Amino acid sequence: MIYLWLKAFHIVSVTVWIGGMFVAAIAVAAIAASKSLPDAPGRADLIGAVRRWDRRATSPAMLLAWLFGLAVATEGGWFGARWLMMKLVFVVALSGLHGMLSGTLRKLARPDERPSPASGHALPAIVGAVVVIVLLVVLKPP
Amino acid sequence: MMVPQSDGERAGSEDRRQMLWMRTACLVEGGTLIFLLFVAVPLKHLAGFPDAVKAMGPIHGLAFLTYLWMLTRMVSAGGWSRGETIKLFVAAMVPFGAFFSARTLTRRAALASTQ
Repeated sequence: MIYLWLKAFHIVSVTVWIGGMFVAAIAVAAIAASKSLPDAPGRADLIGAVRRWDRRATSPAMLLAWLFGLAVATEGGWFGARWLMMKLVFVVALSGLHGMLSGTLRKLARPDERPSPASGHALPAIVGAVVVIVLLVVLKPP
Repeated sequence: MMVPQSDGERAGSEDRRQMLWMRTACLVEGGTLIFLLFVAVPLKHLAGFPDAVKAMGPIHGLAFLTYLWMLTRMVSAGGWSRGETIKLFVAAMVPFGAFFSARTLTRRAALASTQ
């Protein structure tokens, strides 16, 4: 029973975390691609709102996803399974990408700062990692 | 009476706070590494007591990942050269290296508060 509760909280945390990452990635990509948005008067408000959400929801959700995930793996005796080790590689990559997005938002909060053109690749990278993670978890290849 | 902060002052105090959090994460990571290498591992091999490694291993692993995540975020925010970033990364894997990183972060926190 405790296993199902841990799994449920893990899924809730992951949903909030990944949703928040999409918000951050879309904001960064929009500023990187737009000619008018970087100098628009509302830019600071937009960045401020996304940063607040990142600080109050997305980052704590990432931490909880890690903690509940480790608890689920321990409780279910999944440690050592190949699919989980492969999943962890993608989870570490997603966490690193979240750190980069969070730092980029912080940089963009200063006037006259622009994101690097590579920031636009964050969105497809998140989608790709999520697809691989879901397939690994559901199919559990041996 | 509260004096309203300018954007520059607010960014400076935020930078300072971030450096101090980073220093804490760095010292926790370094402390758990020292405990693991110089207390838990000898206890396992010299005293036949493996539980200390079993307990400290995951704790240090989480501390290391947290530090790496915070380092990624800090460096992505700008203001750090590639050389400084590599030093902060390598120092996390060397026993007592965290103390050198902590000194760098303290210096940067002091700089941020004067800006």
